[in-house]
Amino acid sequence: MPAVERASLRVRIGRQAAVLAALWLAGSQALAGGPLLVRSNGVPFAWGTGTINYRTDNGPLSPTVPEATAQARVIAMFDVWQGVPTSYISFSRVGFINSTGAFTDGDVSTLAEYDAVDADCAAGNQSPVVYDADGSIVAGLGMDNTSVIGFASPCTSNATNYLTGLIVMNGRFQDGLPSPGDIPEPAFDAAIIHEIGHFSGLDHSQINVNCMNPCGTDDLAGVPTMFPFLVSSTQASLSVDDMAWISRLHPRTSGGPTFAGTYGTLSGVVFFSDGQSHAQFVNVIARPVGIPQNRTSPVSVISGYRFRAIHGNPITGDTPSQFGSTAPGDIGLFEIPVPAGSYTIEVESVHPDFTDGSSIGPYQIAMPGTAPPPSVPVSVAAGATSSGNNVTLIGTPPRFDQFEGP
Amino acid sequence: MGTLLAERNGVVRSRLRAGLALMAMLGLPVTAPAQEGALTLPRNLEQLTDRAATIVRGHVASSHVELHPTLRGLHTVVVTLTVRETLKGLPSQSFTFRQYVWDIRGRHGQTVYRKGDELLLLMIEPSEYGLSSPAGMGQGMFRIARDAGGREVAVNGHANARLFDGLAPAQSQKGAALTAASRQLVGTHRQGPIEASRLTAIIRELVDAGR
Repeated sequence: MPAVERASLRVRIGRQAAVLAALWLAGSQALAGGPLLVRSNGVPFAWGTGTINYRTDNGPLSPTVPEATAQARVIAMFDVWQGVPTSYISFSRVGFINSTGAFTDGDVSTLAEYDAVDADCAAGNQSPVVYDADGSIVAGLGMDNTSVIGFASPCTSNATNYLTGLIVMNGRFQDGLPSPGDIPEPAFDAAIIHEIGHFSGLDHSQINVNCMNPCGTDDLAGVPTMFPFLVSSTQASLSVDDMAWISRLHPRTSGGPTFAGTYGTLSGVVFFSDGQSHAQFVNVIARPVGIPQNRTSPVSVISGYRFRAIHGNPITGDTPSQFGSTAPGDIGLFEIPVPAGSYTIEVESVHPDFTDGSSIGPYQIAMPGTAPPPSVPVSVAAGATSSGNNVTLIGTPPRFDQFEGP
Repeated sequence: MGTLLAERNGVVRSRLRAGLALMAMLGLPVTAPAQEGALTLPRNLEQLTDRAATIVRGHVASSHVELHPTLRGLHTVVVTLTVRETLKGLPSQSFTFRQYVWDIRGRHGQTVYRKGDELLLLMIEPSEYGLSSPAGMGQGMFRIARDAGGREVAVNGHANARLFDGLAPAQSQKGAALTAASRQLVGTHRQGPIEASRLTAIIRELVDAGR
């Protein structure tokens, strides 16, 4: 099949899967809006251009969900991400989880077997999708198996790319038993779709944070799958932010609509009130001009997303991170991949309640001062960068280094 | 761009239709936040307290990532707290636990436990492999900080959202056993920081009600 036809088919499949997932989801979550991890040169880690091969458990997801059904569902979940037309990211189920160490029977059902599989993932040998049919693995790992639905992450990388990743699905929520009670299949699958966003190298993103409380349908449509909380079933399918960032990390260059032929970049620096000192950890949102696109289709990033987050001090953490740039020019830098068009740029503090596991970006410090009004519209063409869209915060302290403390 | 616009608009329309249909059909459960990539179901404070074997408030004295001593494929973070207050479990001056780390950032030493942080932790019983974690993951881990008014406040990884759902006296025997002051907070709080002393008081009352 010619590449263009394959791409077209992939888009159609992905779109169907996305809609199907949304229909099943009763309140699921969302995908990503920025990189999970950034190299020391400021370039985000991503998966390589080849197909990402993953392997599934050869046991049931639960006593009521046999392996074949689980496998079909997992493939459909990966298809949601694979369906983004401007991203090269693609996934292939290449078989059952390989035997390794203490794991030999095909069904990851004990912690010793999980230990072996995790180690093999960390060694860069395989990307397993584990079905914890009765929650015993999650419990053995010391986690509350009546609350944890699943988790995922890349396992390891080389200097530039992720090599393997891991997904664990807790079958206790799909076993039909009263305790802890099932999650509707669509919601469960949507939760795992969100996890696949992390597996793919995406972090959380904050758009239309007003939807932490009841909000309108246009605003809900703009809430990304990678929003830290599940606030709406609309998060079961990818938002513009999700599609922009998966494409930015894994840009298609041929064989379909390309990233460069579709997206431009809005960049600038967020400054303290002095107009000179860079401000990191400020949420920057590009909103398309027009209604309802300004609410349904924004894209965001955290200022300084390339820059190192942990500097070896009591504020950010004692052990300096090996990740992220140390170039001073990156401290307040933002770069937002957006479909070609006209946008306003606005800034806001990361929601103070998004902490730890629900955090946005590499670290969170409240935005100093107050935000200026949104910018005048800025146009950007596909393949182009509109730079210098700087934002100066209002009423910040004259100048201070937030990492060194007051 | 035309292709993407069509795709995007289609997705948005589909999301809206699907969202409305599902909200009408099923009602929305959720705010399910992630803890280093883990999705969890919302749990209220009574459930978190019941689930916890140890509840302590203290400062992180040390935190480091290492492989599990016997399950050598598992990365773990070992955290020691200097205990200021024990609300459940045996009182002691320090509390150490070992938590599994799956997140690639955590495997490289970036965990949510930073030396000096003041935390209120509702920790589940360690597994037979000595692993533990906060009940409900981020829900059972509260950071203590001072607000603009100088009060010590606590907020968990779920922004304290739904913490008191189902705790009204009519819905919960333990809720009914709370003091009037606690019931007042339970009845009015929806989300956001809670004065630390009031939160610990409610936890103590819930623990006592379970005895």
